[in-house]
Amino acid sequence: MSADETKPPESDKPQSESSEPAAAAPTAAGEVAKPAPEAPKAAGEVTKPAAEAPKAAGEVTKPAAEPPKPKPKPPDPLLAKVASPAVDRLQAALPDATGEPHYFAGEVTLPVESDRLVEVCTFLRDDPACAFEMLVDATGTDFPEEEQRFRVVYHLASLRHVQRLRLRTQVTEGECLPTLTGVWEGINWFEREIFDLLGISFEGHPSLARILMPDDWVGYPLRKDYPLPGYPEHHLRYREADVVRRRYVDISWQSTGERAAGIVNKYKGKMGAAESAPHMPATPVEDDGDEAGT
Amino acid sequence: MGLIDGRLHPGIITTTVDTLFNWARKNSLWPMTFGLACCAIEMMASGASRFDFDRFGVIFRATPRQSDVMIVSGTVCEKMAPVLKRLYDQMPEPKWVISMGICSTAGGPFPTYSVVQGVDHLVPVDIAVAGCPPRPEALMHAVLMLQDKIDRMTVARQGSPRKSA
Amino acid sequence: MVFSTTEMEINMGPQHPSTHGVLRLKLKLDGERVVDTWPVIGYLHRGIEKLAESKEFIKITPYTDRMDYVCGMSANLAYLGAVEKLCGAKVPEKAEYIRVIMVELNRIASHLLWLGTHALDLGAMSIFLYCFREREMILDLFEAYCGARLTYNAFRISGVPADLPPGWTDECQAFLELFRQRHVEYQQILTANRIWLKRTKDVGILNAKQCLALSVTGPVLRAAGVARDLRKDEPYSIYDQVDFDVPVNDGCDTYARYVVRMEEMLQSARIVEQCLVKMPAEGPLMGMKGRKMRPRKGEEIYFAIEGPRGEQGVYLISDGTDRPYRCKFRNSTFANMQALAPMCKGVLVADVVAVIGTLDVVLGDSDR
Repeated sequence: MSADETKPPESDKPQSESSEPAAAAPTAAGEVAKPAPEAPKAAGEVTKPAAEAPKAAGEVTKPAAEPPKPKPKPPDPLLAKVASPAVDRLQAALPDATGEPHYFAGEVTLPVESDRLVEVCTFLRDDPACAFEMLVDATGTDFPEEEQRFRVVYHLASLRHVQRLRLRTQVTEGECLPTLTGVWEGINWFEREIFDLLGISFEGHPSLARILMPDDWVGYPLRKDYPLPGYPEHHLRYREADVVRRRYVDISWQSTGERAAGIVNKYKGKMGAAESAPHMPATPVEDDGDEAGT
Repeated sequence: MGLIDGRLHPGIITTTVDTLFNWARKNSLWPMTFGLACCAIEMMASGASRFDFDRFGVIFRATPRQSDVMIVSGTVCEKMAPVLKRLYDQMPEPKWVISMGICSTAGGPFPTYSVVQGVDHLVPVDIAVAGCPPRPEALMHAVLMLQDKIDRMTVARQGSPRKSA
Repeated sequence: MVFSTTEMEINMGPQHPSTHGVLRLKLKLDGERVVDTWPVIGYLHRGIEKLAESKEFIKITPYTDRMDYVCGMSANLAYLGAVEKLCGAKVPEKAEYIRVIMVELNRIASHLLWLGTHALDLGAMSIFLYCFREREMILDLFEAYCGARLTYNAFRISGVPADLPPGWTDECQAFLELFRQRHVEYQQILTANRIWLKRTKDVGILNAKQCLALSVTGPVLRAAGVARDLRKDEPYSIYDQVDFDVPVNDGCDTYARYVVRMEEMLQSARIVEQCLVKMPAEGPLMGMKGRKMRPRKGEEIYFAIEGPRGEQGVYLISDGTDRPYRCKFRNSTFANMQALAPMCKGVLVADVVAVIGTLDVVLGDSDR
């Protein structure tokens, strides 16, 4: 889901400085307004042509007065391209393994095909210029409207070069992803969690089992079609007869001393305080007659 | 009064069996440490230096076999529910349950697929304390309320265990 | 005479006095030595991430308190920082200072709780009472500020809702002075104590390579010699304007983690003192006027802070509305607990308790 579709096709931000690396636009630090037909849209290009700030993170002045647009405000600063040597190295070494990087809020996201994942990750971990020693997080999301339903995202961090990277794969339901436990051992539980909550299997995982839900749970809770309160038939089966559901009486307004002295709930009837909790269900309960408080 | 008036040594106290049993039971309520979530921290705080629980005779025991009251503090999840029931069953009679916090009373702020909406689906609750988490003073109030409840017990009606409390 | 032994598999938890929550460990023992450990979590899985998908951004903040319930302020900051990053909101300076003061005080409180429970597990019961005595003072300060002792919800998107109450800074200063003295007391009791050394030295070894492979962050990583602290490496809020050190120790064992956390408490006190001085007296407290939030549709961000347990991160995907499409909480305990099994190899059963304590596991953090 790139942000392409939400941007207006033309850029009428006269004061925004943009440089288009691939276009034949002047690269001098001048102000260039780019109407959409001029911006080349190479196949698969994900970066926004209309709103790129210069590579050296310079200030982008907001446009003064604009004609009314569908978007409320100009999006420039957040989509600034981030200098990422790791991405450059990766794209040089494995040219067709990844898609085009997407930049937002100072972060880099690289789409990767699921069959190239292990190769890309091993390179990122071992190459000295990338040196992503630590996998920070692995997450899955369900996009039911897309044909490849699940998106799995890996967050990597390099301690040596203090940089981060996000890898993104899409996978359809029923398809397996290769496990990355051979690359980073710590992804073990993250993959188990993705399996538990979304149902994506990881091929080659040493112990793919449910981790957060009970072992015999049916269903994958984080999918969008799983209801938040769950299904009643999966919930704990208990027999009402075994448990005496008592009627709760609100005794909190009274101190022990007051009750010992026989003072009845002095707030009864005032402040809307009921002497029994009105939200309790009206099921017949056993009442031994010596309730507290009344 | 006639039979024993003046016949007993001054050091002998007379009471009823009920009063004696209740006095003993209520003043040495030993809870099982059943800290599940955030309420457990407040339970620990109420047992710590400032809100000392020991002055009520409350000593936290880790094992259910030696505890009187189970303070369910925290969210009870579906995965934890059978464990809770088993631990409750392992406690000897007479036993009570204090449901501390709104998670164990009614599911709390979590109306989700994995949270049991109230521990009273599993075990009979004697005192429920509201709060998220309840202050240590509130928990102490709950223990005092439970002591009052124990005061009204009698050994005479021993039919169902719950009836006597 | 040769005895043959068989391995025994016993269960520890989920209800156990020293599991710091509902953690279940399946231990495979050879006599008293642990051969293998299989941690089972999920006993506190409340479905907060799914719940967050149906709530507005501002309504999710209280849930972050309840995940890592020992350091609610850090969790709040991590989540709100992520939302602010997603929406491009700016936080005014005074609000940043208030946030950092609260977060660092919370770090002290969290480490005090860790020290108290860790020591209690290892038998030093009086430390528990001393630590809670100081913790109560910090909780008093929090209560004076935001009204709550444990589940704060103290910050808002792009700021804080209220200024510090009058007299708060003086009380905070007084607490910090007292805390330094008490810290010396804790050191006197534990640091050179023979029993403490015996129980923590060379127990639960985890070297740097293992830490990085297992995604372990926080004091555990710093006690393995790796100088990684997000407050220094990727500074957020106003951490680049305050002066503090990051304690790093080469020991890789439980004792090293103890040393690191004790020092971190002092460094946090240092940060709070500087912030109290540097904080602007007047200033706006909220950057955003009104409650309209306009996150970009389809964009995703990840924002992480250095919590008391390690890297606490939030990954948000937005769908253009005022609710997140996906909100993943990358909590430190979930990753750190993967280190339990390697750390427990070959230790005695009693040391398993020490290992759980030294990892500072909070199950709400890992199960969400």
